[in-house]
Amino acid sequence: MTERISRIQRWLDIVAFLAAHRFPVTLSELMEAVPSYAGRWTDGDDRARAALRRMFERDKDELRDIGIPIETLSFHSSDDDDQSGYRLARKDFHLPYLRLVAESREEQPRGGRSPAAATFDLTPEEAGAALEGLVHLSRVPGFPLHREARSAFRKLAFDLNPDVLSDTPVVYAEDPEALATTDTMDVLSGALRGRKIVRFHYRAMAADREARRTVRPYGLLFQHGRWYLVGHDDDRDDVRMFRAGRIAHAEAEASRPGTPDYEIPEDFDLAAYAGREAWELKGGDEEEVEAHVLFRFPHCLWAETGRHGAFVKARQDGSQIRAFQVRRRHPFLRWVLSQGGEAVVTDPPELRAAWEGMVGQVRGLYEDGSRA
Amino acid sequence: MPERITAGEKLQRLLYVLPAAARPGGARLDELAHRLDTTVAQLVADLGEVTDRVYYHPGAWPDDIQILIDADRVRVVIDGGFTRPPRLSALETLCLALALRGGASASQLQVQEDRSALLERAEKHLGRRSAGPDPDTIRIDDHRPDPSGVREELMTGARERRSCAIVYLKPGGEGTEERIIHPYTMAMGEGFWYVVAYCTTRSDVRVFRTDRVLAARLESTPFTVPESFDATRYVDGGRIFFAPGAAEARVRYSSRVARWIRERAHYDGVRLTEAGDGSVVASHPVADPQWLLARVLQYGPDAEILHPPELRELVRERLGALHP
Repeated sequence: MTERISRIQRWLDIVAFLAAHRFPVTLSELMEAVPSYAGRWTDGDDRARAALRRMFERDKDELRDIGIPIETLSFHSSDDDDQSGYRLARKDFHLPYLRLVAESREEQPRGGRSPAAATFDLTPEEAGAALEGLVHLSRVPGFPLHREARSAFRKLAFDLNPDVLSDTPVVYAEDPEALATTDTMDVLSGALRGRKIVRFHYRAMAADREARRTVRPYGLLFQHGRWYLVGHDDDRDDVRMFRAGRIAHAEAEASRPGTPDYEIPEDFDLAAYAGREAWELKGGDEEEVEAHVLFRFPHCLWAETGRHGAFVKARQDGSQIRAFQVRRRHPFLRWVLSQGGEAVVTDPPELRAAWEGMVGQVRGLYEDGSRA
Repeated sequence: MPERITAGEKLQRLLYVLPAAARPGGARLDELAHRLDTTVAQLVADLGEVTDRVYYHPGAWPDDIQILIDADRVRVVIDGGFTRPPRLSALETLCLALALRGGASASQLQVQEDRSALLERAEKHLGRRSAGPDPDTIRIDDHRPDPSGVREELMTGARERRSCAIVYLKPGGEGTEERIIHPYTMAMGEGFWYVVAYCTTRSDVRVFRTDRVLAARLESTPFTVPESFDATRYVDGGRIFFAPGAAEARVRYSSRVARWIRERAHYDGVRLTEAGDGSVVASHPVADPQWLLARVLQYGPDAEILHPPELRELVRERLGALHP
């Protein structure tokens, strides 16, 4: 009969058996109680039993991975022998009852309707922040843990009356590139969590060629509607950013599963890579320069509110000079140009000359009047 | 196409369904299926995995579970385990940590310390006691800086259906404008937040990019969103459209930047015509001239609007004003 038992059923049998026992059970007790194992455990030879032990080890690891807290522990049996056994950590297994209160308390949870699941109090604002944050997260295009975010939402909303919670209506324009990177993101995210080296083909647009890269993932960054991998590029021996949409054939190192291939340096800070503009990135051999840009009034109010550049001075007409640290000149000039005539590079002179040259070139395109 | 479901995810689904259906009155099958992103048929099949266990467990039910499924409800009677969903797994706890760092959470619980304290309590009491993945290795930069709290104010307005007084800086405008808006919905696209709102000044629905809203103040006046309002009309191909129904503009991109445009077109479905010299001509749907202006100018001399003439004129006019 055991061939009819699915893996889900085997896992349910393991969980149900452990949940019914307050005290640790030995491997033999568990093997005899779980039908998938029982027949071969009772009737099989040493080899069959060894195979079943390995099967249970795999089951146990997979159940732990999905959050079933199976403990392995030593205990003293009634026969006065030291034995090892298994137990479901029931205090760690069941979700406490979530209850909305006017004010949250520091000491939680206390008591509860059952010893296995006490009560966790939270205010409507706290519940709203957690639930709304999870909804938003699960909708981030290409987010590799969107199922886990949905599942966390379901669990936290399990006891709460949805009528008392209001969420902000949000409509998402899902970037098609981010949506197309789902498989790549699964590989990168798994490699990052397991600290496994990844290898992939990368199409660097600046060089317009594809090359094989070997990278130690340090972090994943979602910004400007797209995903980026930040990691140590072994070929260049430096930390680099890779746009996930330009990664193909990503594979994580398959050897030594469960054993990390590397550690993320303690001084690595993913936040330092977030929100960087193209002109702030390393690349080429240009020297960093402080550029001054004049923002006309009222556009300068946008620059000021959004903290674009640092304030240098205001002029009588309300316009402002703001300073930028520029590593790559060309992307910077293009960004200033994209302000649509509301911003002008003023300093240093060589950058201003380059800016005027670019403006002249663009003007030239439109001198002919109307094109077809 | 339905997503691949692993055995682990299926088990987690069951560990949610059993306690949900064990509550008084059970649970509606369609509601459970919706909550679990699956179908009623799949849900019933999942439950079959539980009930079928009686056939191979000798003598009796393996655990005291009775499952009753009728036309639209499922009821579960349990005596023992499976009475509550499991705690948050390590990855679910990681998601909660990431969620509480995001802008959507911040609009509900504005003080960062309060969100940190909530996370600390949740990790301790709702999650696993073992160390999980490091949330510092994933960063969802879902919002541009909001130092003035404008976006949070607009989100609150949209959530509580309250009017907002805003100071708006229209692209290319001569000055700021004060408006009273009814924020129907927030929208996010291309890394920017927008608010789609009824503007009482214009007596029409308008789309405002929130980084151009220089100040926002929540009013006490309530509003209702008309049933005819459809937020999805403002979203297409990863972009937010300022008005439904867009005109077409044609832009030539030089051979220097054509590969970027081809890559983008691959995802966006923008129609491209190869010009033979390595350059490409793209046909963009354009509802907002300012969007096209910024997009074309960011390529410098490597992009030129070919059509329509009024947009060429707009570029000429803007560049003509460029002298410090």
